[in-house]
Amino acid sequence: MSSVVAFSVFGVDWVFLKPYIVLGLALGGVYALSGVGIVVLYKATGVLNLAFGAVGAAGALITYWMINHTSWPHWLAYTTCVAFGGAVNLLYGVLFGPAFAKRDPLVKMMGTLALALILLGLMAWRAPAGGAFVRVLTLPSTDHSYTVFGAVVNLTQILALAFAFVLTVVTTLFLRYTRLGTAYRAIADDREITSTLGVPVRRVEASAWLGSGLVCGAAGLLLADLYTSLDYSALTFLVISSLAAALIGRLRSLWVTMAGGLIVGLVQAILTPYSSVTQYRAAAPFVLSIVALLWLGRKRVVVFSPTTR
Amino acid sequence: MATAHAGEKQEGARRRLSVERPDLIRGLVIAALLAIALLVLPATLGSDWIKTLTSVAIYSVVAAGLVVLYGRVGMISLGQIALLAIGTWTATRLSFATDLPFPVLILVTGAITCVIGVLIGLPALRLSGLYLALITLMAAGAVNVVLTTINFPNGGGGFTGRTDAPNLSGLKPVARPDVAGSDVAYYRYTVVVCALMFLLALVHFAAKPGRAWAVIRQSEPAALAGGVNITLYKLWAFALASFMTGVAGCLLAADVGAPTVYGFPNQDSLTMIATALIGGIYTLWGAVVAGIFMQLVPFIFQAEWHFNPNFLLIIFGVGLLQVLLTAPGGLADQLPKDLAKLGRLIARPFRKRSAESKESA
Amino acid sequence: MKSTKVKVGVALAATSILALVLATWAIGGSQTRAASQVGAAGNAKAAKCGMGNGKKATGKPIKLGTINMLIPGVDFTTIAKIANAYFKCVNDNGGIHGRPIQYIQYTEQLNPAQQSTLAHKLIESDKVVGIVGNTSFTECGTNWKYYKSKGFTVIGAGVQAECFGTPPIVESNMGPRYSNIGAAQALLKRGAKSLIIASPNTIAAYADGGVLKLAKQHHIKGKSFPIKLPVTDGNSVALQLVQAAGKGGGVILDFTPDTAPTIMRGAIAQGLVNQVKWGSSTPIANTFMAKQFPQFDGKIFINNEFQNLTAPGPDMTSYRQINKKYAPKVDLQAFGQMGYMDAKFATIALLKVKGAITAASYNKSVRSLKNIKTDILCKPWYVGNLAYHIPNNYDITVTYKKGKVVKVDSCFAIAPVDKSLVQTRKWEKQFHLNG
Repeated sequence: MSSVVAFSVFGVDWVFLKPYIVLGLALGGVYALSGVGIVVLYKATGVLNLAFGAVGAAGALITYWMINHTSWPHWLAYTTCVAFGGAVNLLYGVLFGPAFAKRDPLVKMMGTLALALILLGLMAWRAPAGGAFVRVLTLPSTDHSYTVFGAVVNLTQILALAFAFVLTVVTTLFLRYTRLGTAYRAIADDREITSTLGVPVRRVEASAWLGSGLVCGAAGLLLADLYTSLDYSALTFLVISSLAAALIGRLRSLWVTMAGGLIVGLVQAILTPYSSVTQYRAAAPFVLSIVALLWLGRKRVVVFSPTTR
Repeated sequence: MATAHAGEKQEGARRRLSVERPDLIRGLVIAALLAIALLVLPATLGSDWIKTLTSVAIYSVVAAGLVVLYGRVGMISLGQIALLAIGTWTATRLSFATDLPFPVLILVTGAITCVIGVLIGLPALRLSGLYLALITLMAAGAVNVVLTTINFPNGGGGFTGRTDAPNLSGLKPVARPDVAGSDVAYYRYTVVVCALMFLLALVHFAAKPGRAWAVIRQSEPAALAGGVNITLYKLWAFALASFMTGVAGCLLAADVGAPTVYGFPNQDSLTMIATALIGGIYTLWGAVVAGIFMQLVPFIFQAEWHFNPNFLLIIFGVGLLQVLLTAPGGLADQLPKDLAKLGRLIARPFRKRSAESKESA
Repeated sequence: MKSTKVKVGVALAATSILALVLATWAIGGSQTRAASQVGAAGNAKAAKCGMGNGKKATGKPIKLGTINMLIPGVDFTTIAKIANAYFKCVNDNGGIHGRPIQYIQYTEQLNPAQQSTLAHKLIESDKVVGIVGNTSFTECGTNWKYYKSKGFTVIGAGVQAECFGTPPIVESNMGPRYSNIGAAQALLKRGAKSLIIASPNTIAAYADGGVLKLAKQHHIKGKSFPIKLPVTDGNSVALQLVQAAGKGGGVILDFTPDTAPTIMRGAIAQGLVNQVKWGSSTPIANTFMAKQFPQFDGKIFINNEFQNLTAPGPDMTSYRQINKKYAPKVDLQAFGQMGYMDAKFATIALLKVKGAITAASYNKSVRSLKNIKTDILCKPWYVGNLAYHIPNNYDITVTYKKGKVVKVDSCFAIAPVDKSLVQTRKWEKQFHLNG
């Protein structure tokens, strides 16, 4: 179906702009996915997980190894990545969650920063990149392409977007209508009182880490494919884009987080064909985060939290 | 009457002296360490060690800025490396565009970085804790993208000072001061300037700003109630930390000569805060330890032991966890305590014996 | 309180060990070892290393040093590894008049202070007589003045302008600027209607300038796209380049195998491979890439600064043998050829020294090198006492075919769009530097 509409947006023809919109939405889908995972964890435990990208990257590396150096079935490799994400996050949450429980959200985030550093170090040390080879992880769904509105889309991109949407719906319903979901919201409100009410706080928190971790593993797989190369350093820092999505959602609303993720992906992609700003498009997630943060802190707030000693 | 007054006078004098004694000891220790750094080390270590120690001094000033911001006022910043890059960029641009003598260049770079730091700090004032950390991280990322695009000046004209066809033989690197051209001389110059920066911070701690920061850190409502101008003092902290980082940036520019954006990777912002916390965020000693961890330890790992420096990231991560959970004061806090404990452990059998002998006596 | 501390301490220890075990088991050995033995051409004679007499060298070691870039995503230490392999072969074959070569290798992370420190360490602490094999995005720029002041002439493999524009540095490769011009020539030969080129943004101004000049000469559209590394949106970059080229245009990629696949996959995913003619500089001319990208068979024209990895000549045979014997874990690749040549030229310089081997005598010998024939290069290599060195300025074009790399254009001259290239060829004639 050819497009009869021919106009230009700020000097770039619509025909040229279309494919970037598709690309932006696909990447935005993964940012939205990770964003929702981050927000749910934050709501339940107060921890903003900076190691989200690093865990996903490590899982993707393990999947790569399994596919290329063993003869095990590929579906096992992909599930391993998702399971690895869940396992590492769960382990961290169980081992260190209680120790951090009474601390400032800042300190909790710094803990995940430490985890990210450890993982980065491990990946750089044991799986360095080489001059003549690069790791590529392609999901089988990428081999199927379709033409949508004159742009080429592959199945992975569609799945990323669909998955983000489904996850948002499911999680929203889960938080509102299940007992576990209510427990999350109760803990987010006041952990002490919730525990005195007989809610197994540590177990609930552990489930939040596990759920968020599984999303982290899935996001790692999708990003490694969409990004078209397994660069663990870049994948680790892609957490910033997911953070931007989470911040746009004010670390509260899942739907706004999903919208935020799509916005971040779109903005970054759409800026590509504009030569005056194209070199700065990598700054888009940073700038959007800053705007979101300034909006979050717009009311004059005097800090009552105890000193971080 | 007269003797009573004289007694009081003596009492006052003795009190003054006894209050000053720990400060005196500390002052002597610092003087001794400076003497070692300036005189003994250059004579005994090779030029590569001296160059590494120059970097240690520079990065410990950056860490000192973090001590001011986070240790004293409670404001965390994950973007100090970006400020360092801005300082280096400014110094490089000015060095190509003007003929300022080096001390003036240091001051001007510090001042410009100070202004930029305050401008960034202004909107961030309303934020604290988690949000402040995030906004500084994002600002650092944005600065990194901009610097990667406009690159560092290389003798061209215009704002960015970048030309596609640099005159390679005529390319003069950022000029060192005439008095400190050689590596060893420049090392001494750097140590002196860094010591002055530490002194500047100490002066602030001892005076009104230090007291205001302490109150703000303890409880903002109390500070408000006490009539402390929170906005002014928070901005002052940003200004001081940015000035110090700018000075460090200028020193770095002249140390390296031809700086590039690769000297300031995003990852360094994370390792900087990790090493600052591991070293000890509450005292300036911790800043020195942080500088050592960030520059000297990787050098030893890689150049002396031929070990992959990426392994250090793991150690930094584990160290950071330990600091956050069990030893918030970092090494600077923990080490004297551990040494004292060790000392008591060693002295215990002797004390027991003397107690027994006293009893039996 | 104490029990919490103990618990946390145990937790920390447990985490570290667990993470280490997990990752080590899972990731260790992720290096691919695909097809490193590229059909060694039967009984072809191999060049000998050094003195070639089969005797182990046991005298006082001669120290050489190198600094190579190693950053997350780009690893240039391959050059050092193969140079080291060559030196091991030399040491097993009589060394330098009986003395073995000791090769000190350092890596740097693009931090200029660190690069400078390491150069000082090599020359003043480790007291090496020569520096061989340096490869980095920025080290030439950081250290060339220091090398000049110490009278050192560094043989390496370069990327930056300073590697091809200053007196004390001479490279065995051609660098991206000239390699890109060669790729552009290959595309123009096949009728490309525009020349679009993309390079990492820190080197783009230097690396792309030649192609833009060539486009201007031929009165067609030329545009340079500096790309920030790492590339996070290969699809967008590929789209951007193809849209700028237009139908029948030419797109030249100037990236290492760490980045190029991202963009190439983006092109495949967007169905762009057949819309333009593709070109590239040298780093992706190897079988690993050829196997990964059959979609580009015959469609991408890669300028190769060196002879094909399967070529039968004596130096290529020797390279393959040395790689197999002394560095079996490293794949055959252009970086290996660079390491081999750097080490070989250094060895020739060492063997030529009459009298005591010192920094002064070795580096003087390096500067006197000329007419060094090798089948890895199109023309003989040289150094000379010149203001700058571009000894490698003739090369070939290759493409992918059924998982292999095949030659499509034989040795041709890189177009003299640069004054420095014109001057270099004048010097070559004037001083008889390459026959």
